[in-house]
Amino acid sequence: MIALAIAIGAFEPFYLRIFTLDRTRQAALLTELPYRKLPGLRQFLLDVRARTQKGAVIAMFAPLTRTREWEGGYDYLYGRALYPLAGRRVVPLLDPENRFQPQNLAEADYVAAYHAGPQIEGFVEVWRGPSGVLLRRAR
Amino acid sequence: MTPELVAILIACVAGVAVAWLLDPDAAGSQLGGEAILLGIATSAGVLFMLSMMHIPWSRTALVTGVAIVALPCGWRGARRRFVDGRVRGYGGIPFDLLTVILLAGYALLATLAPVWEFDFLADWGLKARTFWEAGGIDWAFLEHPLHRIVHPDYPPLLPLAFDVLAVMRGAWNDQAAGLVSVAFAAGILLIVHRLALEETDSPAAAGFITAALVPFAATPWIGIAEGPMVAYGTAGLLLVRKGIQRELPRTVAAGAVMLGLAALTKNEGLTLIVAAAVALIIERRFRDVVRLWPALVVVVPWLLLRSFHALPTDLAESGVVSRIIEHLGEPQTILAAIRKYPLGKGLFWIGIVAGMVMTIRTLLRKERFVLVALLTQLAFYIAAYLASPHDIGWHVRWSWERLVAHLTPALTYVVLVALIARRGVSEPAAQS
Repeated sequence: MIALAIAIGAFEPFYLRIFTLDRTRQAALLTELPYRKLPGLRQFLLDVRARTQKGAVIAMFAPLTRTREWEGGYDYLYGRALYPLAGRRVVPLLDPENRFQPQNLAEADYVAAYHAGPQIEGFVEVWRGPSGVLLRRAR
Repeated sequence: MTPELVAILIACVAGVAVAWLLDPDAAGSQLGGEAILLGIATSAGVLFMLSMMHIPWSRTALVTGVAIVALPCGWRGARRRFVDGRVRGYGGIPFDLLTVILLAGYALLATLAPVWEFDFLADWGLKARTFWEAGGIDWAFLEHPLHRIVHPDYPPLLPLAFDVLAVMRGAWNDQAAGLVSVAFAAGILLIVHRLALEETDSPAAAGFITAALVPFAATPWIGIAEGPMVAYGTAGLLLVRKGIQRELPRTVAAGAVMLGLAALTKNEGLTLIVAAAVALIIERRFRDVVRLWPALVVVVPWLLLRSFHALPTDLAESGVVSRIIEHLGEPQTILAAIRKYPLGKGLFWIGIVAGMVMTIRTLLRKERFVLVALLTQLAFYIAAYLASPHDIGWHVRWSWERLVAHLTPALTYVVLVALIARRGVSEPAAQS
């Protein structure tokens, strides 16, 4: 009886329920889940990946909050940009103390600007999508 | 996902050869389970060695490397004493079917979408994809100060396991990465099934115990290291337990290899080796403590490389002693955090406590090794909280459930075996 209670208590019904779920819908939800707080971010990062080459240095730009704080959303953006852009070097323009990081901008080949279209000296716009723009260092 | 399934199949074939050599007393599904766990480790190890020798990763190099490891193992292992692996009776079939269906459901979930766990994107999968892009372990990435947030000190087995799939496909496919979690779950469940069968001599009981353990082997954290840690850690403890209970030194050594692989999966695996050694010392099994040496052989090369490349560990940041003293002064902080983020599955925990109370004499007589090892490991986890440079509430919130999940399968196994053995003893007495 106790053994049965242990088994029932441990049981994970979702591994049975999944056979009857709308898996297409579930797959779409799960695909967006890690990026859900910044709509369009996943596709934006995939687009940036498609337009940059291995080894490129990409600075992430985003006016996420009025105060532009690391914990106001920038950490979320930066933390999620690393994986889709693996093979490139993704650098932040803020540090956790909310200080601008000009040395990272200086070494960037690209600036990926999420929901923004900044004019940055020395960079030209090379692509514009629904969730942001990609700037490349002018040659 | 054919290339990824082929990669896992090749790993399993190699794993059979390695398991033959390492654990001559493994039979039936235990051999199958060990083959999965050792085979994935072998394939990952080949990529590690290729990287160390600066040989670019390729399908040919991977398969050749795996063959170079597997063929001598298979040659030597083929002379092993074959153990009868037949299952007597059909009472386990309904439970085995349930296990297969639940695992199939888990596989559906794990491969439904690109792996969505944040720790996959920010750590395990990120490293794997970075290594894949670099064609080897990217030490410069791990050493870069910007990448401290990706835990560069975490061991490489799981990222390399993802890379095995990518090398076989010749491309990165993050939807297939979930297959690794499924393989690890299947591996430990196969081992559990055979061990339970040997102990209870009942296919129904073995099937029941295995089905009960599915939710712990098939962890909900797909694509991150908890599943592999559970698989290697539980296999390690249960094989050492089998070895000391039946005086099978090679099985103790096989368990030690699994513990070493747990340490190559998560840093917590390092403390699990120590916990197993402490438990053996308390059992006064001093020779078996020495037999844990393979665990060190497996993990020490990584520790040396980690030190050589100065990969930082956040728990070891300067001021460890002062943090521990400070946190010891306010134990209520940890207790409050643990109370605030409960483990869920209330009925399960009530059942475990009731089961332990009912079988306490058996557990204290037969299961001291596992219980002491688990308690010691739990103590290490609490100590890690005390040494944490992070806010304790935050640290507990994001890790407590996963850490306890490392310990739950072995605990559940010994309690269920004790409960079933108790029933087996009491029935004939009742009949007489």
